[in-house]
Amino acid sequence: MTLGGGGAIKESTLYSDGTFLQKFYPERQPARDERDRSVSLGELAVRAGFAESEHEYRSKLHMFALELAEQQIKKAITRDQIIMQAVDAQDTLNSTINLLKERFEEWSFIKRSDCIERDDMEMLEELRGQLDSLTKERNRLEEYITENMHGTAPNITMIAGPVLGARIISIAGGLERLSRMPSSTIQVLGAGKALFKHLQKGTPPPKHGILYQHHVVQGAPWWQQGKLARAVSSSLAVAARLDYHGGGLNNDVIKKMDKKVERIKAAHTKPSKKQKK
Amino acid sequence: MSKVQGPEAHGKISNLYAIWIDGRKHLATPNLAPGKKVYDERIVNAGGTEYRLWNPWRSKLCAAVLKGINFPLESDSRILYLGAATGTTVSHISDMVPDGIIYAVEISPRPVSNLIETARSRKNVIPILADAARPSTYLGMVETVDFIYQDIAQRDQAGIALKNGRTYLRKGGTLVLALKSQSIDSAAKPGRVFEGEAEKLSEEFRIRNRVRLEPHHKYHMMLTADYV
Ligand SMILES: C[S@@+](CC[C@H](N)C(=O)[O-])C[C@H]1O[C@@H](n2cnc3c(N)ncnc32)[C@H](O)[C@@H]1O
Repeated sequence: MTLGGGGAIKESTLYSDGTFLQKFYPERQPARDERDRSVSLGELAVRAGFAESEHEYRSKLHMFALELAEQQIKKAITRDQIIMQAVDAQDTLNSTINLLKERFEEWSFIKRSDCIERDDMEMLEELRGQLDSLTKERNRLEEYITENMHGTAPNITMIAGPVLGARIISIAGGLERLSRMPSSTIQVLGAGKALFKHLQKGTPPPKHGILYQHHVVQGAPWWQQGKLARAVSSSLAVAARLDYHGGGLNNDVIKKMDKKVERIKAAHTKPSKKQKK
Repeated sequence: MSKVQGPEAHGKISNLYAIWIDGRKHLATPNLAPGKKVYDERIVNAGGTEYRLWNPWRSKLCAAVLKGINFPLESDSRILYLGAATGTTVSHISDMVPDGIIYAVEISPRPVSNLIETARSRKNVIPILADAARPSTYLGMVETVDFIYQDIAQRDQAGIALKNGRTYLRKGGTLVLALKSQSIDSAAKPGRVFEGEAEKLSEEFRIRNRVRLEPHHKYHMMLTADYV
């Protein structure tokens, strides 16, 4: 066993790709049992009469850990469920805020025409206060979603941003279900009515549902939008699988998507003859 | 039938072998749970023992060992493993320390259910569902260890290693740390990022080896350090 003491570089290998391996060797090699402040739970367990030997302690610990982890998993409310709640709450807040804002503006308009009493004014101020605090609440919720999305679904967040990403997870019914969807389904998530009409009445199938809100799709000319939505949804399918299995952020996904998007934009500067608005 | 040669002991790392199949060298570990696979690894019989081939594309530790990194792992070593995921690498370490113990910490419940399945047939694996950034939450289950192996794609990788080192690593123990530059700073040059993390560690550790893991794992470095 190799321990502290003033070590020195003894050997350094440079690989052809520019990386290197340095080997340090210590000058002193104390015995393995030089342990201070160390805790042996096995010894403690034997002393406390919990197990007859360290061996027995380990096998009890093994059984206990398996059982405990299993219970914890069963109970674990998955993070994506919490995010779904938050994004739904945000949607509700948004529509409330918009309705209130409309009412407020109408009211202010009457006020300007100078025909309301003093207590009407007070009421109007109160409404403004409510509107402010709701807006603050919504912003806090957005921060909360952003923070959680980075941890729980870093790849989806990279592709779609935290809020749209969360909304996609919510429409799909959870990260697990999203991770099992083919990209063609992801592409029309949230297309609700248009998809229904397509199935019922044979209107053209929707090219994109909620993905229309993605900046890549939304900011593009109409004849590119279907192709771009397809590029985004196939990246999302990969991202969802990565996030579901919890492997951390993989930047290759966004790089590939960016390349695809560039290629589509370069190849379709004009609508093709077949395309109709 | 493919031609199998070996096994030849690695020497420094206990229960690690090289096996040649049709002339190609593979690292392999003796299967502690004979007849059982953990992921889609290949199983070969050599000299009457069942070995599991260790895939460097699947395991950063394997890629690092192939590049020449080593650490004094013994068959009874105690290891705290942070970021265990489904247990791919954990299972090979489990093969290497048949008389030791691996405390395998993972934060995400889904991979832990696979880890539990792996641990059922491997008595030396203790699965723990916990956040490695909060080492005090597993104080009651984990004791002082000889090694910490950490493979977590998170921002504060050095910080997590330092915290766990203080709590669990014995003096003179070894830290084996997989660093992913992209999780720390995706804009900066990987070399810079690695330097920064190594510097943070050097307050409490003596850095021993470091090696980049290309081509098997892009933007990754493996580092070993002694706790002083
Ligand atoms: C790259 S994977 C590890 C692969 C594994 N070491 C192997 O080789 O088989 C990283 C793992 O770290 C986990 N992780 C991320 N942050 C964590 C934390 N704070 N505590 C514990 N595990 C964490 C992730 O859930 C993921 O499963």
